Amino acid sequence: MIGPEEESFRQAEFVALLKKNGDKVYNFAFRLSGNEQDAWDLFQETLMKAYSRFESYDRSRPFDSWLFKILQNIYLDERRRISRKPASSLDAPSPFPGKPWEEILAGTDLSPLDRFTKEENIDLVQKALADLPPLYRTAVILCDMEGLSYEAIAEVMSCPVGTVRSRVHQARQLLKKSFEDLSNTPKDRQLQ
Amino acid sequence: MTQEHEEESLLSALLDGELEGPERVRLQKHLSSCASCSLELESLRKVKTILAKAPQKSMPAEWTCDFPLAFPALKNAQKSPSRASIFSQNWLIPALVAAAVSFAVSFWVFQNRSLFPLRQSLSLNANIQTPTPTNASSALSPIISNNLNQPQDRTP
Ligand SMILES: [Zn+2]
Repeated sequence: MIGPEEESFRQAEFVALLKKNGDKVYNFAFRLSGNEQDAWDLFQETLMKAYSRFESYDRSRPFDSWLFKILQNIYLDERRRISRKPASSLDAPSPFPGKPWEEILAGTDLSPLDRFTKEENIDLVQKALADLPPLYRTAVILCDMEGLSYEAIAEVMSCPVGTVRSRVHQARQLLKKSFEDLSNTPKDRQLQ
Repeated sequence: MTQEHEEESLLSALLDGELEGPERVRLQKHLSSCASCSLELESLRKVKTILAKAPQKSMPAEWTCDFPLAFPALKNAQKSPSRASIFSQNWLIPALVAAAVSFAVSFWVFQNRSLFPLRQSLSLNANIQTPTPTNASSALSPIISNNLNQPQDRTP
């Protein structure tokens, strides 16, 4: 049992860490789940779980990575429960069997990817992310939106660094294809 | 073509500053003479830029305001080793009420700020149930409520 003083110290420490890292963790929840409502649920569940295990948090490691790990496990458990598919199905095969990107882009003045970059496509970024297999999505969000190193991502995802590299790359290839498809789709049909 | 293409994922590693030593030198040398890999690297860079430019979401302000309210729940959760026992504690009802109130407030604020006008049409993730908060109980997360029946212990 811990005394009230120790408990309030623990609370203060948790709140302080959360205030510093909460935005990053919430952003991860949003990008992973695809909408504010699920992000909010995921975020709250993560904090509940994190606080219940706060004693096991290694103070020498980054707090955000610790929360990322808890969050992604809750998310993947939930996905698996809903899809009732084995965990291995979360990794998808390579998206471009034998079709190089330059071939897809050939013959256009402004490439679809360039058009996508120039236009205001914030919601479409979220749509493209949502279409990724969860493990690819997690890796690329942590890399490109949260700015984590491959080593830190490997720690969060409990996998080798080589697997992170492969997932990040596969995710980018799939996103490239999605962005291209979306930028070629009439605006009124893009979000359907 | 002067030489074999390198493994494609090395391009992403180079882009992320995760490639060092001989591998990096070898890939850079290859890129200087391979137009298709250079083009691939450029398109990967554009994808990375699009993601990096996407706006960062902030933790809802409501959470920080409500944190003292939510904290009794967190405080008690800390004492319980598993989810099953967490949710059998007698603080559950006040905690759920606090969560429901905070969720309702944030949902109302979000609606009124028109932050998510496209939420319905987006349907970004068809596999995820999206609860509609019409009353206190429906404000509870499907994640939370489902885990009540399925205690999981995969996190560190
Ligand atoms: Zn090449």
